[in-house]
Amino acid sequence: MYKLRRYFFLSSLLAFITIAVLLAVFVRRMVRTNLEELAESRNVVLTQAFSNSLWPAFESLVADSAALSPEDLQNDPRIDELYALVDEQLNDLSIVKIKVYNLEGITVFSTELAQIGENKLDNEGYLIARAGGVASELTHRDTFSAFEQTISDRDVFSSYVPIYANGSSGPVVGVFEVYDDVTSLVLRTNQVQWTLLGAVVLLLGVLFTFLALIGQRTFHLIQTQYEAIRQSEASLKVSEEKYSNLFRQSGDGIFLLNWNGRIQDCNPRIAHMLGYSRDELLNMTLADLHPQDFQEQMQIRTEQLLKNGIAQFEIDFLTQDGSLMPGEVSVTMFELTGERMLQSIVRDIRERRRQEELLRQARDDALEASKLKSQLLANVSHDLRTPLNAILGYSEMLQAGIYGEMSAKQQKVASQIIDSTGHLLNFVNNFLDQAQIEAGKLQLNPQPFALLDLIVEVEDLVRVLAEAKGLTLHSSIAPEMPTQMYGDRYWLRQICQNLLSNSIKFTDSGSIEIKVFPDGPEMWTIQVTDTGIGIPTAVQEQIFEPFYQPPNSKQKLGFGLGLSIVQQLTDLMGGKVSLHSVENEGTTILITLPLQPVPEYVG
Amino acid sequence: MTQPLALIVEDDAKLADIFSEAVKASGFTATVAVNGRLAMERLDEIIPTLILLDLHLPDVSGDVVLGHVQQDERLADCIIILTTADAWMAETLRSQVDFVLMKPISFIQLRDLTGRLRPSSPDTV
Repeated sequence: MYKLRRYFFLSSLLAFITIAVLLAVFVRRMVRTNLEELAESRNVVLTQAFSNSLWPAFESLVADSAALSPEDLQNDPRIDELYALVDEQLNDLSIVKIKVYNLEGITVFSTELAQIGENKLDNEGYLIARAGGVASELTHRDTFSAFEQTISDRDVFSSYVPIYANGSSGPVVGVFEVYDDVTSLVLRTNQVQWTLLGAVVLLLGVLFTFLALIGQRTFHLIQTQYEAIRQSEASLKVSEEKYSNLFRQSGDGIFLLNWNGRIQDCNPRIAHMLGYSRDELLNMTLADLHPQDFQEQMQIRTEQLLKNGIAQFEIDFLTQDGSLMPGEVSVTMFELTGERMLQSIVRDIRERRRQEELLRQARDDALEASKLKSQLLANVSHDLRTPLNAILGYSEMLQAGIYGEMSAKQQKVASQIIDSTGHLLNFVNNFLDQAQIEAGKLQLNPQPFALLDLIVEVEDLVRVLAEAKGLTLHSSIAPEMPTQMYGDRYWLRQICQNLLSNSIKFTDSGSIEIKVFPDGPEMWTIQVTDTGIGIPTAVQEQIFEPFYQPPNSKQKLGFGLGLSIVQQLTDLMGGKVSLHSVENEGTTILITLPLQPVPEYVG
Repeated sequence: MTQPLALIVEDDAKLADIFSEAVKASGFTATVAVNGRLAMERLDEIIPTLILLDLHLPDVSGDVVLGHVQQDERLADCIIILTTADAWMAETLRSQVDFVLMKPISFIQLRDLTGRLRPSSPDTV
């Protein structure tokens, strides 16, 4: 671009210089011609004047000249007279020299005397004039012999003019050569010429400057536009490259399709996924890739696409080796040169499907394992309890005298068997409950139940134990308690039983009391108070941990699971446990639970 | 006066023995079925006053036997006591039966309970 501008300026400059030079030459020539014409006409006029006034004086010498030798001619006495005549005639004029030739070419007279007698027959100017024409020549002479003196550095205009016998008509009788000093004229002419030339050059300079400015401006505009185009081309190229890279190196397969599902373009990834070459794919349609349900799929997906602007789905692709590749597809539409096209991005989800299958398998395995674990728990529960039940039952039967009266000693043994079995059963029950809670298998099953009945049932169950230790057991139930409430009866029973068993266990004398009273809307508190050994303040936090044994109990009275289970069950039911205990005075444990009443008409 | 009849449905022979002795001790005549199928066959023949029904049975499970009893109008007045170690099933079926006894079941407890249920007893519920 800069080069082009330089060329433009240089060539314009050259053209202007050429024009200036041509104009200068033309002006010079024109002026010169004018000058010469002027000088020549002056010489012609002068010659005519000479013919009229001086020719009679020359006539005899010219007539004789043909017979005289050059030396004789120079020495002819008439020469001096003629010279004086001419000098007088031409004194005030700018004429610096005149010559007169006869028709034989002999210089008959010259103001430069040495030239008299010279033959000019071979001179072109002379010959033209002898034939009736006028020949002129402007020359610059460094030195020139003028009348009586030598002049230097002069422009001299010389003309050969024919001399006619009768002034301007009649036959040519001789040739007159006149040298006119036109130095001042040439000088003036040159001044005019240079002035003109200067004006022309100035004008052209102005024109050139103007043109250059316009050119500069135009170039600037072109340059700006050119830069803009180049930049937009560059950014287009970058964007094209980006898209092209995205297309070629995408980790997902990409199809460009026409509205009929014919593949127009595809990236290497999709070709790799499906095992076809790009050329093979370009000859295929979606019907080749989904031969099973093409029509149906096309209809569903087109509806999706038109409705949402995008269709996303999972579908199987038939690959080159005949296997099916599950793909996650996302189709959008766009316009390309007025035609509606589809862009389909395909993600190979074989690996994902495999992972999902593994996960599903793992989940099934876990569920199966969990089921087995639950089954195992149920079986262990059954298999432990059944023989224990038999031991307990037979011991009780022995003690009850079903098989005959027993001695006091035998009675005591039977009693100890029953006692130990009771402990063992208690442990097994708690242990299984704990296992069930820890396995996360414990599910609450809230159903309508009568809390009053439950309390009575548990009271009955533990009364034997309390009475055996000489403890009194009583209960008090708030009169406003609904007949039936929603709750998990089994686990509530477990809570009450554990609390009462625990109190009996750690109380040697006094009483145990179970109280039920409301504690806010639909909140009920079950409170168990004993007059037992109490719980030291320092360990009151730990007492709800599994397998915890209080430090102040004289003997190991269980396995430390009872309160832990109470705590966990209460948590599950959305309730809270609180404890008030003074060592050697007694303990009060409160369980506060949300229990909704069952409307009476339902019950 | 003939004694009321109690059907003991229990697959464990020892427990069946203990339960039989307990109901006998409270004045019932006891008959035992060691699985669900036999229980249902027996129930087609007899109308017991009391059915002691274990849920965990080797062939037909206890709740199926319960369904059979509930569909038989002849047995509408039977007192049904569920005996089970399965707390979940026990709670699920509690409303459909008269009593639920969680295993282990004390001889004394069962004797005293069935004693109260005996028709001729002044404590009959």
